[in-house]
Amino acid sequence: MLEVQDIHTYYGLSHILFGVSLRVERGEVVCLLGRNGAGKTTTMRSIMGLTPPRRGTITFKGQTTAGVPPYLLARRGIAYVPDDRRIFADLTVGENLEIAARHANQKAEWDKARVFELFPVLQEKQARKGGHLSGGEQKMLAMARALMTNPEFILLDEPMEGLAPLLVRALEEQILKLKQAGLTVLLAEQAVNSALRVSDRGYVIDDGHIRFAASINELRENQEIRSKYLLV
Amino acid sequence: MDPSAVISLLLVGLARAMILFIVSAGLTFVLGVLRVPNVAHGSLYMIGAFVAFTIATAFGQSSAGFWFALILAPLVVAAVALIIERGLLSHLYQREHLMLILFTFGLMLILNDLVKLIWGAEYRSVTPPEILDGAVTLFGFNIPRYSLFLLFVGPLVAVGLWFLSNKTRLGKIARAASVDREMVGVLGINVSWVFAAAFVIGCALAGLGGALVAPTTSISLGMDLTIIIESFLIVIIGGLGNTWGALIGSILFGVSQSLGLLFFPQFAIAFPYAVVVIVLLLRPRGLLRSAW
Ligand SMILES: Nc1ncnc2c1ncn2[C@@H]1O[C@H](COP(=O)(O)OP(=O)(O)OP(=O)(O)O)[C@@H](O)[C@H]1O
Ligand SMILES: [Mg+2]
Repeated sequence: MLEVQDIHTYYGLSHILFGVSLRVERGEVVCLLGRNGAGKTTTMRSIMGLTPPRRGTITFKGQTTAGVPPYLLARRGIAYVPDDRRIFADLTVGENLEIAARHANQKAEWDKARVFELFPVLQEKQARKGGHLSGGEQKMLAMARALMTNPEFILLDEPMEGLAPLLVRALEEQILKLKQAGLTVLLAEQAVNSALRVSDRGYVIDDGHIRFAASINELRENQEIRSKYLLV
Repeated sequence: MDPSAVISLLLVGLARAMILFIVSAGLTFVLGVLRVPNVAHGSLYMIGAFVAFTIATAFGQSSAGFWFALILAPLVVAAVALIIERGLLSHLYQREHLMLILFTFGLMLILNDLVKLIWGAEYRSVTPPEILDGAVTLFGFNIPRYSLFLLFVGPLVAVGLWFLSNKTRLGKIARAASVDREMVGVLGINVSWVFAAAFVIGCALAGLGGALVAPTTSISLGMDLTIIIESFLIVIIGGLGNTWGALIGSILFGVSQSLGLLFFPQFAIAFPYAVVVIVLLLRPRGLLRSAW
């Protein structure tokens, strides 16, 4: 579904990604593990077209994404849940969801009712301003909002970060439900154990390089990789 | 001093404030959503007034002419705004504010020359329609009918803008885009068209203001300068991007102008500016919440 080949991404003059390659097949949950500043967010921004790579190629569903603006990538089926949530604070929870809903042509699989099934807290707080939600609720709203665009592929940037252990468990469940619903997920995480519980495969990124690509079992067992790049 | 005369004068000031409000609401809308300080906003107001003159004249300055002018002038200004946005402004959103100010300032000069070219330097006027001509006595106060009309239109525009921002999809998207346009794009929304629509709506309000002011003043070159200074001050004291702030700021400005005329005639022009200075000393970021 997604193929990233040898991309080099910059912020202005600073070179951040050095030939990152990864692929995600339809229906998979793939994690991208790495510590602070490793380049996880930059990889996701590159895929979403927010910080397009200067070199290398990204293909989504067989089509290149080069030169395609983010709103068109979103319409092709990519959704992005940023690590800092970026909820529209002045809009209510309901409005945050409404503006993301796309009515055009396709059979809208995700609507408010369905995202509320997945995140029941949001239903109760529909009329609340996005800015008045707790951090955890904002994370859910960010995911719910992304689902409202009816994506096929979803980029989750550190969804577990800062969540209470109980909420982390709930979120793992929710990610598995997304997988069951047929979504493909690329999950950037530092919370290795959580990420490994929900993923099918994983990549380890450090300093803008992919250091390791492996199955979950290998990632679980390879202590060397874990201590070298993940600090766990 | 005759108290009923004072109240009449205040009402007239309040009516003038409604025109200030309509124009500043457009300016503050563009400022809030697009983050563009549109210095040429006053020029679009002036164009609105001249277009209203042309339309009214085409109808022999009849009552019907006024009503047509009132509807068509904002649409003509909207069309001009669309050309400006698609042709020029849309390529400049990434630039810093100083660039945008310089660009819209240049635009103001160009539009000014264009108006001079099309309408010349003479003073023009529009005749108010019969039912809005003259004055009525309400609760013992003498008030021009046209002022009453403005006092009706102003709140109508305020409610309309509230409805647009809070009840329509475009308005909700515009509110979201004003804080985080990148994230709005990520949701699959073409922000570029949202910006075009917001700019056109904001400028149409300038055109509406111009059409509304036409029967109350002599339409001439230079009216762009007065209004742009006044409306920028209003937008600043109200809180950037805040429609209700623009309403309060306009009322403060319009009413203090009347009060100045009444009590300090020799400082009448300076009086509203003194009020602005005091407000900014007390609340440097404006009376209501700024979107910036
Ligand atoms: N806007 C920016 N301009 C310049 N450098 C940036 C910018 N954003 C991130 N960087 C740098 O790029 C590198 C990779 O950052 P990135 O945000 O992709 O890491 P990350 O893996 O997502 O880290 P975290 O776990 O902290 O979110 C870091 O060294 C960071 O300092
Ligand atoms: Mg990050």
